[in-house]
Amino acid sequence: MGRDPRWLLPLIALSLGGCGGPQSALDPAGPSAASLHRLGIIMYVGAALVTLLVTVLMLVPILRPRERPVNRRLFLWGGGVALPLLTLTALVPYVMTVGHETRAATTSNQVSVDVTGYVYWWDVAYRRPDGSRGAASANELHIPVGEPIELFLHANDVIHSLWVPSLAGKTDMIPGRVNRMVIQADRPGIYRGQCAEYCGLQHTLMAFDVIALPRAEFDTWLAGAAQPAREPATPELRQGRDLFVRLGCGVCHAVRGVSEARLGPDLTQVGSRRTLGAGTLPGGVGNIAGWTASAQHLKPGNAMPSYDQLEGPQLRALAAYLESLQ
Amino acid sequence: MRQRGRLHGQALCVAAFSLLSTIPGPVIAQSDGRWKSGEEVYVKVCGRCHESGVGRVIKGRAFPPQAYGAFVRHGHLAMPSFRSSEIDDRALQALGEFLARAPISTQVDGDAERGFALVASGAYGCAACHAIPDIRFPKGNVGPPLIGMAGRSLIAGQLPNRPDVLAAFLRNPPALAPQTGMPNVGLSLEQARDIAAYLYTLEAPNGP
Ligand code: HEC
Ligand SMILES: [Cu+2]
Repeated sequence: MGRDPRWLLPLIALSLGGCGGPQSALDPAGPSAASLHRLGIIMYVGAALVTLLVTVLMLVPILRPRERPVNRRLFLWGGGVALPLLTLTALVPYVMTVGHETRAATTSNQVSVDVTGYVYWWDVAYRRPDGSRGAASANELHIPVGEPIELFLHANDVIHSLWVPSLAGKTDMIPGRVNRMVIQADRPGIYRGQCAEYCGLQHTLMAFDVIALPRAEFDTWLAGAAQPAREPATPELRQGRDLFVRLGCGVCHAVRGVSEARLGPDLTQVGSRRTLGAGTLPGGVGNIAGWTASAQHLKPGNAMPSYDQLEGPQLRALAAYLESLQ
Repeated sequence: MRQRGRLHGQALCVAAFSLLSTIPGPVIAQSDGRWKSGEEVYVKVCGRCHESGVGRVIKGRAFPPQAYGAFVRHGHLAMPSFRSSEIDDRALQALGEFLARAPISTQVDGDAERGFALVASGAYGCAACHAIPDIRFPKGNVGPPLIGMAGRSLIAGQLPNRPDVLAAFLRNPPALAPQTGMPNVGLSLEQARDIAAYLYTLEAPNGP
């Protein structure tokens, strides 16, 4: 036992390093995650106390073998019945209330969003007041800070599960069902989510970003997202748009004002997307070109074919056009 | 269009040369004393374009000293002309002599570590198209693997693999190789140099 205990320090630092960051249930950023976090702390501390108690009781007869006999009745009724009954009676009703924020009632003026899981990406569509499909995005959910946001969760093919640990617990997305969930972010920032129900080959590359903005910025963003895509301004961009149409990208992708399909992510604002392929690559023109030319190499088994038959300048024009859609 | 522009340039080049061979070098050494050496003129004036990938490389091409003078006084394609009030005759002669002897800059004046950080950030998409030894994911397969860049003969199969050319290519690939699929990802000159410096650390697996 004479060893220098300092070797523990890097280990502790390493494990604490995992506590923060954009995807952590230990660093809650919304009421639902906060109440889950509180429950977690109670459970960890409670479990540690129980372990300690049991250890001490176990050691007593070992260390003091010839002491007076214990009171069996107290032990059985006290430790075996009363203690669990008391803790569970207190705990169960408490646990029932934990995370109830995710089931909060709808309020007027609330932002409502349909999120649909596809293999292996997320469709995001803002509901208009009349309930119809408004501005759309993919793999990114912009929300205003400090407000409960209502999500309607759907699945297009298999079961997925939406989990943004910093904001709330998991909620499954089940084909043929609509699950409702309310989330809220208390500080502006970017919170990473991940599909939490194994859904196939590329389940790991099915990430999600929640981008929490102050209300005014959110309104500006939403108004922009509801506009038709920007008209191409240069000959190269026009060539890019023509290729987009001619190559059939629009059979799967929507670009507001150009195409309407929904078999792939909405690309109306793909130029400002933080990631491509649900977290596979960062955004930007270089990555758009790489993805378009080799989607199957980068994310094997995803639903988009690799466009490896293009000539260099065509690929560049296409990527430049998509990059211009901000 | 490009082809014609290039021919045009070559014709001009030849014309300038033949014109020059008849003129003796700068006759009177007029100097306003502003320039201390030919190198200073190169660094402060010419280098703006010829060291930044805007104009082509003019060091190490061993033209006769007067040839440089002709380009400076008359301009060439997009290059403006410079009057003797800007670069006096003596400084011009010194410049010509400096350039006629100057070796190609082969040293890489970028920071490989910063270059790697730029590549690894993913923001420019390098790894989405190229397999890069120090990057685990993605390992792109659209363009050639970058291992062995240090010893590769040609960039994109068509340009001499020199630091200045590589930096210029990284900044604006289609400008140097019009048929390439590699887009201009908006690197600054400094970033392009840093990435070039990093690429020159990538030796072929079995040594040179
Ligand atoms: C068969 C349907 C289909 C066609 C055709 C198609 N895509 Fe896709 N595309 C998809 C799917 C599905 C995804 C999402 C893949 C994933 O992340 O799992 C996608 C993703 C993308 C993305 C990344 C978007 C993001 O936000 O993650 C880009 C960019 C893209 N496609 C561009 C194109 C272009 C350009 C074309 C035409 C040359 C094209 N696609 C043709 C189905 C298609
Ligand atoms: Cu999944």
